[in-house]
Order: sequence, then structure tokens, then C-alpha cells
Amino acid sequence: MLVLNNIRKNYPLGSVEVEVLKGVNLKVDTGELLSIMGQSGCGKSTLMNIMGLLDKPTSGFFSINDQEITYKDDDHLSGLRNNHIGFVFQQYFLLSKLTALENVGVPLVYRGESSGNIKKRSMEFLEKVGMAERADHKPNQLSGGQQQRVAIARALVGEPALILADEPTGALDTRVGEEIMELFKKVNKEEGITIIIITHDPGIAEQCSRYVNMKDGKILES
Amino acid sequence: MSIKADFKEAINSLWYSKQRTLLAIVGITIGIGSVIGMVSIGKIMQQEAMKQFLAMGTDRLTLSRFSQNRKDEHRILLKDTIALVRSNPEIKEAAPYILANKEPTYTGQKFERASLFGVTQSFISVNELKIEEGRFLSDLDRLSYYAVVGHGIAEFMRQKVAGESLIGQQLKIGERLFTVIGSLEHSTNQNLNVDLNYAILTHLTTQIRLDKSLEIQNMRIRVGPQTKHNDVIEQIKNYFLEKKKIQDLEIKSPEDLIKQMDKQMEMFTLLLGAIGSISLIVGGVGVMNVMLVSVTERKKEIGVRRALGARRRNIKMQFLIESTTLSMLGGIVGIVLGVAVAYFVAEHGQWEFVISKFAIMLGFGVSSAVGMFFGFYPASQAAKLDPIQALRSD
Repeated sequence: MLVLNNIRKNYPLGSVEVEVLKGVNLKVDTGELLSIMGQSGCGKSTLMNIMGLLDKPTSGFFSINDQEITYKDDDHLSGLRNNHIGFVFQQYFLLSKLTALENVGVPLVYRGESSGNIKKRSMEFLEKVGMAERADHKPNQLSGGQQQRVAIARALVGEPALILADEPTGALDTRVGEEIMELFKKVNKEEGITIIIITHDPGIAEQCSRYVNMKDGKILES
Repeated sequence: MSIKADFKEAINSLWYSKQRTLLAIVGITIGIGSVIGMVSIGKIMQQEAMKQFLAMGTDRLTLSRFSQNRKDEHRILLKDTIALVRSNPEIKEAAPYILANKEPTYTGQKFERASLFGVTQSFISVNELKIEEGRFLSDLDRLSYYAVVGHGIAEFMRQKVAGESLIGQQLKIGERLFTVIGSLEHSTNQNLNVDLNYAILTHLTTQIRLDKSLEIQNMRIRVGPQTKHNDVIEQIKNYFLEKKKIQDLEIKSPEDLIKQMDKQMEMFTLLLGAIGSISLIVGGVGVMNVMLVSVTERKKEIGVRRALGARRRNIKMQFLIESTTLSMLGGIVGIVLGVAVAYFVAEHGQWEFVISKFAIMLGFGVSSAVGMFFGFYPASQAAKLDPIQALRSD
């Protein structure tokens, strides 16, 4: 479902250009649970931003579901993110003023769905991640693991084709991290959603159906 | 994203930083408050003036002349006013009057306020005055040393006479003693631009005899109820032009006075509007400042929303609605404040309190416009943010 061909990304740093991605080639099939593993600074976050349509490559070919991404129309990219991609961040990034339930509903709000429908769907997905009884809590009333569960519900609520998770267990202790990984595996298996997890932890990578190593702006063939 | 949802978000977010919200709306509140207050007070005063005016009757014309004339043939004489009434059936009464410049005293004491008039018998009916005690001056009192006093003057004198009647008391005007023959009830007539409650009325002929430089320069004329004012004004002007070669007459009808009053009111409103606008601009800059801070503080939120699918215009709308809500909150408080001020002013002046719907609509309209205008730049800044940089910021 994802095809990346010779993706390059340069950042200007003062007067020089720094090459962060030096020609990434990657194919991801529908339903995969893929891990991209690498040390910090290898360019894996930049790659995730590109795959998440938050950033555009300097050059290269990128397609989702056989559709080439063109980057011309910002609203179109927003629409693609909204409809096809779910994000899970290391720092959860829940909106602090909203309750767990409202946080889950945000992607649907931007789809223009009715508030009754949004509430119903959000609750459904909170149940799925085991957070239904905390629906009315604000993020600061939840533990890290609980916040990440809510964030996963938010990523799932729009029924995306792809979930991008950037160090999803990085801020959690090992036991809670394992629970989160179990949740990803369950979602991948039961819903058939393609999941890409970015991590520096080989322990996480080994739990995925496939993993690739990234070093120095390139994906090493494994 | 619907406006309703945006509005809920806006309230949420403004409530979250209550203190800042409160400080931001102070400027708007003062601006809107002063505009509403002043427009309302203006309207109350206008209505009050109109009420008095209508009570005075709409069938009166006011004649005035500004030049002084040495020779009798160019002066308006008492007999001319009598002849004028006879000449035209539409003219019912003419009440010429003279303001003399002498200082009256009573038992050796000056009055705090007093204006000395020379009038004729018709003055009482044309100006809708009422006798409280005694009688008014008649046409048989020509050249007499009789005086009729206004309500305020009468009150002042009553304190001195302690229970005795005012009739027969003597006022000294210049070198002459005048005998009081009557007093007037309280009057709300303001058409002469002099408070008649502090008037001392004597016969016109007496004043002219005492001071040869005095001449008739003012007159109030009562016309028939169906009379066309413009026609009769033209006729009066022609009359004096033919008989006396007088060209500098100004005759005003009630319509003219209403127009003049409206014009003054307009100036007043314009001035207050200008003052209010300045405070609104200051308030608007306050709103802009708060919104810019809010955008900077919420960069991460903007990044998250963008990642979750918010379009630039969704973000812009969110902040625009927030600034408009903020400004309108200030506007609502300002409207309440302004109306309250107008109420207290009306209460104090014993005027009838009216709520100006126009002022309230204006308050809502202007405060939302200020919010939109001054919120536009911060909202655009928010919408322009790069999602990744927004996500990375803290």
C-alpha cells in the first residue's frame, strides 16, 4: 500500500544543506505490522513525517494505495491525513482542555460528522482500548499508559488504512509498553490495519511481523 | 468543523485562561460601554427635548432679528405687531418681547438669577404660562410699573415675606420701583433659551420708555392649527419688507427647530462615536495581543490538529471565532454597563428611561467586527504554521 522510491530530504542548516534522507526505498503491504528501527538522528522521524504527509520530500516518488502524492494542495493532504492516516506520538499529544472522549473525536470533527455520531463512535473506540470508564477524564488525570491508549483510540476512530506510531512506548515503563504493543498487535490482527512503528528499541522491533533497519538516512536491506 | 463546535472550543479556551480573557476585554468593554452609554443618553435627552417641545405646541413660530436700528421707520414697533395679526387671519397671536439689561433688586438684595423681560398681554398664552397668584399684565398696563414674577423668583421672595402675599411687594429695577401684581406657576418652556422661572416680566412699553435703545427683536407667533408654516413665514417676511424695508428677519417653524435639534444631536453622536472608536481600537489591539500570545502558546495544539486532519481554514476559523467571542464578551459587558449608565443618568435627570435598540445592535455589531478585524492577523499566523514545526515546539 505504501511505495517509497529514492526519497531524499535535505534541510538547510545555516548556509549548508544537510542531507537527512539519502534515497529511501521501501514497500509496505496492506495489513503489515512493520517496525522501522534506528538510532536517533538516523532520519527515521523525518521519514515518518513524510509518510504521514506532514512533510514533503526534496525528491523521490511516494504513493499511497497506488496514488502518487503531489503536495500541491495543502487541503487535499489534510483530507488524506484525516481519512487514511492515524498518528500515535511518543508524547501522546492529547489536547489538554478536552476530555478523553472529546480527544478521540477530534479527527471526526474535521470530517464534519454530527456531534451525536462523533460521541457514539468515540465511545466505541474508547471501549476498544479499555478506557471507556475514563471517558470524562482530562489528559492530566490519566497516567502515561492511559493517555497512550486514548491516543490510539484517536488514531483508530477514523478507521484509517495506516497507523504511524513514533516511539509509542518511549515514554512508558516496560510493562505498560508491552501492554501498548499488545494493543497494536491486536488492532493489526483484528482490524487488518497497516501499522508502522518507529523505534530505537530492538525489543519492540522483534515483536513486529517485519522490521527494517535505518542508518544514516538509508534503509538497510534486511 | 461547524461554527457551533468552534464556538464551544472558544468558550472552553477562553475559560481556561480566565484572567487573561478578563484583562483583554476591559478595553472593549470600556469602548462599547461608552458608545452605548452615550448613544442611549443622547436618545433619552432627544426624546425629552422633543416631549417638551410638543407640549409647547407645534403651532408657534419664532421670529428673531439681529441688527440694531436707530431710526423708527426700520424698527418693529408694537403697533406693527398688532397690525400684523390683523393683516392675516392665519396669525392668531403675536407676542413680542424684549430682554432688558438691568439688575433688579428686592429689599436691597440682588437675585442669584433673574432676567428682565418687556412683554405684552399675549405673552402668557403664546408661551403657555399659568398664573399662580394675582394676575398677568394686560394691554391696559402700558407704561405701568407693574411686574409679574416667574416661579423661582416668587419662591425667593416668599422666603422674605414669610407668609404674606407677594402681591403688592416692590422690586427695584434701575431707579424705578415696580409693584408685583402676579406670579407664575412652574414652567418647563425652554423655547426662549431663557428659564422663564427666573423671569421678571414687565410691560414692553415701559421698558422701551426707560431705555430708548431697546427695540423689538424677538417675537413668538401663534398660527392656526391647519396653517402651512412655510406659507405664513413667507407672508410675514413680505409684510415687514413692504412696511418697514426689513430684510434681516429669521422666522423658524417647529420643523426647523426639530431639524436643528436633530443636527445638534448628530454632532453630539458623531463626537461620542469618535471617542468610543478610539477606545475600541485600543481594545481591539488588546484582543490582537492576547490572540497572538494564545497562538504562540498553542502551537503544539495547532500541530496536533493539523496532523489529525484540520485544514488551514479550520485553524483560522477556530482562532477567528475565539477572538470574536472574546470581543463580543467584552461587548456584552459593555452594553450592560452602558445601559446601566444611561439608566442612572436618566434617573438623576428625572427623564424617562428608554433603551435604544439601535445602540444595542450597534454594540453587538461593532464588538464582533472588532473581534474579527483584530483577530484576523493572529488567526492567519496560526493557519500559516508548518505542522511539523508546530508539533516540535513546546
